[in-house]
Amino acid sequence: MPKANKTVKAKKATKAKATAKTRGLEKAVALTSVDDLLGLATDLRAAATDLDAKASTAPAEDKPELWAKADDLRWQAQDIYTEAAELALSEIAPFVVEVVTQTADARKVIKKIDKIKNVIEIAGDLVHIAAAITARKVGPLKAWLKELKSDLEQYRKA
Amino acid sequence: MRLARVLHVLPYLVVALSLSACVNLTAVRDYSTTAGSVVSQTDVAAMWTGAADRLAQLPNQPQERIAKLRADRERVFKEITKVHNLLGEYYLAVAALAADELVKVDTPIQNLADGVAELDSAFNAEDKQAFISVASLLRLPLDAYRQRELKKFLLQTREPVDRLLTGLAKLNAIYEQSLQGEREIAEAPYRRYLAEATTPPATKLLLARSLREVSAQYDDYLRAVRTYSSSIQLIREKHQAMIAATSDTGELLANAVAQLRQAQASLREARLAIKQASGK
Repeated sequence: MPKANKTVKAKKATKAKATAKTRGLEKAVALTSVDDLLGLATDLRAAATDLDAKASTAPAEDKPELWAKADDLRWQAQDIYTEAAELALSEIAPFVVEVVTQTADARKVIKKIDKIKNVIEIAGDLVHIAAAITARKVGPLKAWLKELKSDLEQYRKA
Repeated sequence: MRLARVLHVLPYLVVALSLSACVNLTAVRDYSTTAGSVVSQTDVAAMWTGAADRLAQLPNQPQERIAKLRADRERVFKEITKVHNLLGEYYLAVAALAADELVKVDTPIQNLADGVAELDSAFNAEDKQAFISVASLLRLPLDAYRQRELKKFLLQTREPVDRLLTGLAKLNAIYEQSLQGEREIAEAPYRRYLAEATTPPATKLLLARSLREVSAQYDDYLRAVRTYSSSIQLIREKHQAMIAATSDTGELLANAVAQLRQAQASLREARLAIKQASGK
């Protein structure tokens, strides 16, 4: 794994661990993977559900506080999901580079084949031009010169 | 005379040679085109990114958190889009290499033959046909070259593409759980007031109806994520079959082509389903 990617992963893990700590979760888990983060978010949501259940039987004056806590945990879970997506992306970053390079190479092969076909087109145009000159036909000569120009442009583009 | 006889046989020889070197890449081309259109879809990722906008419509939601969620998700969405686009381009490149049109030289050869016929009046129809047949043989090395390059491309990208598809599968799992969590935020106010004994029955009826509407909306979102998720899984599984289809070994090729055709049909259906569900 490239060094830069390792650093990103380590930073994410530290951030996730700190998040877990500040949220009072006493789990001794190493949050170095997407699965760990998803587990943490599930725990937060479960804790929020417990708080809602507690609020339903609590005295009316305690309910708003319990509900606020439950909402807070659910919002934290949403932030964790964003972090998990970032971590999943950083895990595949080296493979993105690899596929970009290989796809560019494949496109070069396609261009190469197109160029070969283009060369035959140009050869055809030249023979037509030679025929028009020999026959002293100005109209066809103009038309084939135009065709040659367009084929040469295509060749340059390929 | 002997030359004329040889020239007569040449067209048949060309056809025979073309067929012997021919590998059925049509299925690979069709499959790659469909797979490319599915992997480049960002509807589900966009739906996940839109969480902040949906939650902002609920009463008493923390505005700072909504703003942060929106900014974070939009930033991540840009990166996710790059992966979808790259995979889309990858499958397009496979489809382009697998397309028979790429190595078709009939039109330029015909043009060349017409030119020679115009230049030399002694170049009769029979000569022209023989010329086209011989010149068309150029298709064979071109075809062999593109088949070799296609195979090389697929083998070299087998692992990295599989890792990217695995990454998309992981993202789909995140979207699904995240949407379930978002649903809990959206449904919580309704559930709380419905559980209250002091809430009047008429209000409870209205609340229950609203809750059903919210639930139905999230059911649609989750269905879209699950459909997309199974499509990505299918593309991952069939990637190996696609590589097998570039080989010309009888039964293996036939099986792979059949699998690719089947996968293509279900991917088309999945794409429509995702569009319908996420468009709500």
